[in-house]
Amino acid sequence: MSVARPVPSVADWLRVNLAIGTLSFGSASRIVLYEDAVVRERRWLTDDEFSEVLTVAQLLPGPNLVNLSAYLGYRLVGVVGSVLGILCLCLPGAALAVALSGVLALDRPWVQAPLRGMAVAGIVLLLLFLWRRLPGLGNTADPATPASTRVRVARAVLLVGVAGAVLAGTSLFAILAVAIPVGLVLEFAL
Amino acid sequence: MKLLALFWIFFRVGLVSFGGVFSVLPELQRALVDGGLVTPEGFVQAFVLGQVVPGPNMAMCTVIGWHVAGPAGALVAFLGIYSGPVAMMGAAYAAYHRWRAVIWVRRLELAMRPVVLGLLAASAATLMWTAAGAHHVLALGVAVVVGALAAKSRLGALSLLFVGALAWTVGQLLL
Repeated sequence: MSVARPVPSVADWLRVNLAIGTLSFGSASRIVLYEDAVVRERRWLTDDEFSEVLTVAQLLPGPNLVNLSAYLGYRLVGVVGSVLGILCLCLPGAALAVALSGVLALDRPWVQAPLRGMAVAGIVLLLLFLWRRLPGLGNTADPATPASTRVRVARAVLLVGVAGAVLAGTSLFAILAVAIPVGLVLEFAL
Repeated sequence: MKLLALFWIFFRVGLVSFGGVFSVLPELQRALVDGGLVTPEGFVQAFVLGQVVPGPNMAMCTVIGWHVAGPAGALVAFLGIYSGPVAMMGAAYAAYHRWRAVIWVRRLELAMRPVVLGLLAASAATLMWTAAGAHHVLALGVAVVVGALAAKSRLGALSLLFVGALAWTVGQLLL
């Protein structure tokens, strides 16, 4: 089933980045904002395509928000649009941080309260985002065939194991050094 | 040459910043504070600022660049920290799209999904702990309000962030 889907212009893409770059105050989970804008609101990508982009953006070095914007930008509007999008995303916050560094008053309660509220809201959004991504664990390379129960369970165990190792304070490099081979074995050997 | 040294510090950190600024904080601190470019207090302040402003939390690097060498320093830090990852994403995009029709490339991506989601789940848990601080009841209340609105209303993610800000502020005034 193929449905004609909207294609963004460079201006559309810059507007999305500027909105996130200027309004995502104190939010801990800014990547959800891209999913909201690109998949849910504007339908430029499907859920599965977004998961694909997320995997690449998350596993390569770099701030995941910038990686995500860069990759989505390349895919949706090309190299120039992507670089402009990153400037729209990064410059407002960088300029504000420099301006505020002269007059630091971040410990005041009336500054802290809204920031904490946004952080908590951001985490709720992140949890809902993870929930929406879970069905993607049941996919295989062939869209018509769902993964077997065994593979699904193994993937879920790997997910929980990675999360647990991070929370236990294991170094990220050590976790990836173990989890990446395990993920590959699950996919290619089970 | 100070600007070149500054660029090199941020550029090489950018190349290994898996997941964002948190994974490279120790290395940044070593290069900048132990290297005598920034005071420990200045480093912590820049970190806090980077967390609260909109956009990527790497904004702290621009702040440090500004304080080390003015506008030119800010520009050098900004380019240093972002140019490596952005170029790598370009290469990854080109490679992935060239090869994504090959079945095992698609399977590689599927194989890595649980790892990526596990990393995100852990950061959600850590961040919840930090954000709530000593205000467990208030944090839970705000989470319920935002969760309910996310499920039942058509508010977008940005609007829900501002709902969270409002709910916490009101809650703090009432409690």
